[in-house]
Amino acid sequence: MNDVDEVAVERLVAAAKQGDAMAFGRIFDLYHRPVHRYIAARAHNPADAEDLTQVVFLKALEALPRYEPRGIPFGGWLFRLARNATIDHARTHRDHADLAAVVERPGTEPEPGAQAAAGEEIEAVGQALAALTDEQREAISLRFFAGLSAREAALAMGKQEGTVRGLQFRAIAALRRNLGLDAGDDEDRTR
Amino acid sequence: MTTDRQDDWGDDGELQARLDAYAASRLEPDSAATARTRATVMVQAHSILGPARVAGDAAGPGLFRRLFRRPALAASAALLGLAVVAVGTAAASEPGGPLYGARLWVETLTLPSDANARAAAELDRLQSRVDEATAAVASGNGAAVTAALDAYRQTLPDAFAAAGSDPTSEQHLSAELGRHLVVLEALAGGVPTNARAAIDQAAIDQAVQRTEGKINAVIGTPGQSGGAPGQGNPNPGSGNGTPGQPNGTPKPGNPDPGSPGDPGHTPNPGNPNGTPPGH
Repeated sequence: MNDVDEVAVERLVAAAKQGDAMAFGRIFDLYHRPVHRYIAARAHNPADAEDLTQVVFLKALEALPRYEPRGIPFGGWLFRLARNATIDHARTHRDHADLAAVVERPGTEPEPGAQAAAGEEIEAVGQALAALTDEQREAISLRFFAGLSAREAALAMGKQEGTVRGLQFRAIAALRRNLGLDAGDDEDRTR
Repeated sequence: MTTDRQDDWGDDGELQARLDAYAASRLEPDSAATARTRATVMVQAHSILGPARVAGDAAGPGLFRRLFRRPALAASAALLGLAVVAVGTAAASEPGGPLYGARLWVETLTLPSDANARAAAELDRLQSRVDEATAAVASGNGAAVTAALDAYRQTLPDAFAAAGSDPTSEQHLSAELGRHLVVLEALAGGVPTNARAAIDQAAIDQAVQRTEGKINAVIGTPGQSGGAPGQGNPNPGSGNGTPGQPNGTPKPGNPDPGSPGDPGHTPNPGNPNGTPPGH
């Protein structure tokens, strides 16, 4: 993961496995924000994101004794827990999802002036993300919002690294298209 | 890693900027939620993994860094440290233990003289007390919770004095104290069921309330903006004021990691034993 020293993380994991709760606290401090960002990108409201993030760390705590690095970065393992938690949550809450998306989406209140313009841009990004396929959105969430490496994202998604890069490539193209960022390129091509 | 991501994104700065703005607006956890989640997770961590390292952690690398900054005190502190090691085990210097007071005293000896560093060190000490209280709640040790929070309250005026006239330090301290309030509230309501029987819950609640009262007294009651702390001890000796509720209502969350319902879910979410598919 970006800005995370994997060797230091493995040391913390080893300490936590030996019973050092404070080491797990450090792991929480390192990963809470990226995990929350990933989950918030997939959940329907902030409360769900908070609950799911908590569930992920509690699951990690329980599963930690069974975690063995063997060349697998801890981040990939943890985000696999996060991904499975969000999938399970989506399955059990699918019936309410659409309503929740409309009712509980934050930041939709009218805002004055420049804030309104920024708000519209953010809303447009949200819509562009929603227009991606699930896998494309997942790749963007893991790579961009959580800051995972392609390898870690591949582990989390249970796919090959090249597949994840391909998903990301297509997602970026779709986002640029949906956000109107390809306009200049199109003009260049028509000349 | 970063380069890895940059390679994939190329020079698509405009799209990155928009995604960054979106993430900042919609995906960031707020500090109260982070504190709530951390408190719940740490209570479970201490319960599952054990509180054995807390004492060592609190007197860890930061302590030694501070020691070397003030060599004049290093010798006496080292002697006392050796005495602590010689006389008792680490458990003795845990909250409520016979050497806990000595450990706290050593901490004060090793505080840096530089104003900013001292303010940061005092804040570290407060955080250590909160961590100790969290660990003690998890282990069901009511006396240790009380001792840790007593020490917290004693450190509070020093922390504000160290923040002194620097508005940035003071603001940072107030923000951290707000976070501590949320953690304390979560502690009061977040005791694991299996440990509850062994806990002097009334003593814990009382200690938490006293500490919340003290924090509220120095940063202003909830709903007000952070009040001027003065010298940080506006209510000396009382320690039993009943505080208002702290900012934000802590959520019990879902501390049941084994039961979020995974019907027919093949990837085995609760037990990815570190082996990815195809490996």
